[in-house]
This record gives sequence, structure tokens and C-alpha cells, in this order.
Amino acid sequence: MIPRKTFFVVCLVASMLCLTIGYGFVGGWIGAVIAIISGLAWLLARKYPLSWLPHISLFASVGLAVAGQLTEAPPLLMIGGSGFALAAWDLIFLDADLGANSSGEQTRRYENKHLQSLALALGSGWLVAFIGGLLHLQIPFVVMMLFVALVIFGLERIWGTIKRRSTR
Amino acid sequence: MNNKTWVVGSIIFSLLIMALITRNGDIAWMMLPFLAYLGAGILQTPPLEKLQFITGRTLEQGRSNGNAFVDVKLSVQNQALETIYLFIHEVVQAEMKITEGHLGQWVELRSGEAAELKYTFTAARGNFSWSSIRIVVGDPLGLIETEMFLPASSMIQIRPQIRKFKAIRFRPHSTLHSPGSIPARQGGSGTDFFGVREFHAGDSLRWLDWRLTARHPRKFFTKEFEQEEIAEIGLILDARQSTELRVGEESLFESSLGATASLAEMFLHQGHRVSLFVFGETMLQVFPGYGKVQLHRIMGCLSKAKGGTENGAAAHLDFIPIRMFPSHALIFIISPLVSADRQLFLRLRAYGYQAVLISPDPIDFAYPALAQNTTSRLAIRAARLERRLLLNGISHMQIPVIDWQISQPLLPLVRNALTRPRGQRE
Repeated sequence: MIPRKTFFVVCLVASMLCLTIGYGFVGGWIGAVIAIISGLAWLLARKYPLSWLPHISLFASVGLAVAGQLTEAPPLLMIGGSGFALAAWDLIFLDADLGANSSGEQTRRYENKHLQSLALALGSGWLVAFIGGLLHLQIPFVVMMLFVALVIFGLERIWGTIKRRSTR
Repeated sequence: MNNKTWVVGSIIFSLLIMALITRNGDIAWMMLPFLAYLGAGILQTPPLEKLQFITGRTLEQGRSNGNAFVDVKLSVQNQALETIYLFIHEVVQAEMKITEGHLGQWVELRSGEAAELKYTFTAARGNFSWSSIRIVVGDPLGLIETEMFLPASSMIQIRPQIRKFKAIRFRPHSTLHSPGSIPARQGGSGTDFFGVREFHAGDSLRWLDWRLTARHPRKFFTKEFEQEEIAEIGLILDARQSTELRVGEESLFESSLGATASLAEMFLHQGHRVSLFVFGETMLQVFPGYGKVQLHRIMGCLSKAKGGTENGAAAHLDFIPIRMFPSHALIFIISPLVSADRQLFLRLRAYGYQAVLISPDPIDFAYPALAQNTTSRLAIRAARLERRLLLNGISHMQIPVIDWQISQPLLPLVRNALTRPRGQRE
């Protein structure tokens, strides 16, 4: 089996398990059933990668994770669920881009680099999130607002950079 | 910026807002994998200022005959110092059928490395030209992509398939005064004996008729030979939508076009002067000329011809500017005809042109695709009667008519039409 397809299956199962177990912990069986059904939606999304289905599936998975956080489900499982959903979403597009034309050496290198970057990004994101989840800090409201302003400013700068780079 | 970036950005923003509204820190932490993903994409995007490429497109040949397989090779070489991730994409053109290879490929290119994209396509005919290669440069995650068109121009002309016809010996009403192969009914320098006349100063002594001279003292007689000249040929191809018919992959227009190409090749090969007019949405014309260069012009024109949509000016054959053909030319009209087209033939006769109609039979062409019921049979019968009446009407104008069923070879029909007495139906 091609690595990207194997990773997709692994990420999809992991995302479903994280969300289902997370809801199971707090007895939210409806949420657990929805998490399992969303797994089927992901399979459909893989079949039609050029439609909006992959995006909808990602939003649904992240929405489920947020709802889980609000219903006191274990945060680490919810973060894991949304992160694996992001990986599955990315791998759907990678598979659609490469299609049947991935036999060349240069294309294989591109695929490997993509998988490495994905693993590195999600790994580092999870690590920081898990460490952060273990810490319980009491931040004053003013500091919190400054932090939010900083994040928004950062996002705006990132957005500007992306726009500049993608325009020639 | 593509859809992926928008989705990731909006999820990050939504999570931030949700975390603020619910004052839930865990939701804020959920943003981090998404932020890391976006950050990884941004950090690995190459700076556009440093990008440098050498591109090229190689075609196996510059000109080809119908239904040939053309190999195309695109190459992109990375001249930047950094490793680049890019998508090479070839834009497919109408009428192209890809038989081998792919039109797009994602690659990682190290500094100085080149990538090649190879594919093979086929087409019935047409002019295909490219000016650039489309590439999309981005990060390995495909979040920030920049589309670029790099110059790599090339073109190929795929000409219609020619069925080589053997030379036909025919005698048009008038000929051009250039040495050729058609007896011109005039005395002069030729090979066939034409007559004897009194000797004029300047006549060659080689052609003196000594026997007649011996019988008539004090007079000299010289032999005359029949001059052989070339013919002036005009070809009119009907490319109107109203006469086009398609059954599956087959097209009646393509058959007409193939016949026109074959006739042009045959007449030019015989040394005649040939011109062409394609009457359709876009009117194409090739003015009279001889030889291989003229054949190239005609084939180029035919490869561009389209039996497509119709505008008002191309509704009736009567709108053809027939005066573009030299007077007394032998004009071949290749058209399935519609009932309103009779007028053109009257005009041709009135202007003194000698005309031949080659009419591919649309009823016979469409017959296999028609339903075999009583209504259909009656309709076919009525259409055949209407067509017969139309062709008979044209035939009565002393115009040879070739009712061509495209499954039949055309050459014997043309030969019969050109050698039989005028007005006789095929």
C-alpha cells in the first residue's frame, strides 16, 4: 500500500478513536455515534476530493472536538482527534494531487517531504498543546486581552505574508 | 492563497473566537496543531525573488498527417540555490486526445536539477500551439502556491489524412496557357499530332511535312502538334453547421474535408493551378497557386477549418464570393447541400464556370443511427426524394453531380464525372 494511503487510514482511525473514546469518558454517546458517522463521511470525502466534502468533514471533526471540550471530555483526546482529522484532510489532498502519477523519483521525494513536514508540524503542535494542557496558569484579564491582540496581529501578519508570496 | 489556507486560517480564527467566548483554555490549545501546520507551510515557501527556471518544450515533429501520435516533452530546470517544490502542468487544448503520459506532475527539484513531463497525444487535424508552461511553486504542504507561466513556445500542424488518388485524364472547357498535361485543342508544341498548315517563317525545319511539300511544289508545310496545358481548379468546401452531421465519432464534414485534401493533392501533383475556399463560420481561402508550396498552404488551411457554429453570413451557399476564382475555372463544390443551395449553381453557370458537385450523402451516413420503424422509414424515403430532386435539378444545369456515399471510394466517381459527357448523373 502507498504510504500516503496507509497514513490516511491510520489518521482517520486515530481521529475517530480519540473523539469516540473522549465522548465515551463523559457518557456522551450521541457525540460518540456522530464521531463514528463522521468517519464514514471522511471515506466519502476521500472519494470526492475536489468537492467541499473534505472541508466539511474537517469542520465537523473540529466542531465535535470543540463540543467535546465544552462537555468536559478529556482535552488531550479532543486535541488529538482534531489534529488527526487535520492530517487526514491533508492526506486526501495529497493523494488527489499525486493521483496515479507518483512513480517518478522526484515525485516520490516530494511525497516524502510532504509527509515529513506534516508529521513535524503536527508533532510539534501536539507537543506544545499537551505540555500547555498540563499547565494551569491564572492569567489576568488584561494580559489575556493583550495576548489575544498579539495573536490576531500575528495572524494578520501571516496572512499578509501569504498574500504577498502567492502573488506575482 | 488556496482553499486549504483559507480553511486552516478560518479554523484557527474560529477556535480563537470560541476560546474567548467560552473562556476555555483547552480550546485555545487546540489551535496549536493548526498554527504549526500553517507555520510549517509559510517557513518552507521559497522566496519568489530567488526563483529561476530554464524551461523547454520539445515536439517530436513540426508537422504531421492526420491521426498521428505526437510525443511532447516538457522540461523545467531549477536554477535557484534552494530546493523547490512545484507542480508542472500542461494545458490541454480542444481536439487533443491524450494517449499516454500525464498532463501534471508534482516534483521536488534540487538546485540545478531538471524535471521532465512527457505525454503523447493524437488528433484528427488542427493547429496546436503553446506559448508557455504553467507551473505552481509552493511549499511541500501545498498551502502557499504561486502560479507562474514560463515561456516555452512551440507549435505543430496536424494535417488532414490524404488518400492518394491516381491521376485522372480529363478535358476541362478551358485551360491555362502554361505547359501541362491536358490537350488544349490548339496547335503548338506537344506530342500528339494535331494537323498540318503552311510553313511560316520561324517554324522549326524539323517539323516540315516533306510528303505534302513534295506534292505541292513551291510550297512548304509544317506539322502541328496539340498543345498540352494545365487546368485552373477551384475547390469549395462547405463547412456550414446546417450541413454537418455527426454519428458517434464519425463526422460528415471530416469526410468532405478529407476528399477536398485528396483532390487538391491530386490536381497539384498533376501540375494544375488550384485554389480553395472554405465556406463556414470562418471563411478561409487560398488563392490560386501551383506546386508543393500551394499544397502546404491548402493543407494548412484545411487543418484550421472547422465545421462549427454558423453565423448569418454563412447561412446560404449563394453568399460564396465565387469571383475569387479565375474565370472559366473548373470548380469542385464539396457539400452535402440543403434545399436552398440550388441558386449557387445557377450563378456558377451564368458566370461561365465549369462546375462539378461532390455531395456526400447525409442520409446514407446517418442511416445506421436512425430508428428502424415505419415513421423513420417514411422520413428517410421523403428525405431521399427531396435530395434526388435537388440533385436532378443541379444535374439539369449541365453540372456533373457525384452522389457520394462516403463508404465508397471517391476516385472512380470523380473519374467518371470528369470523363463522361456533361450533365450525366453518377
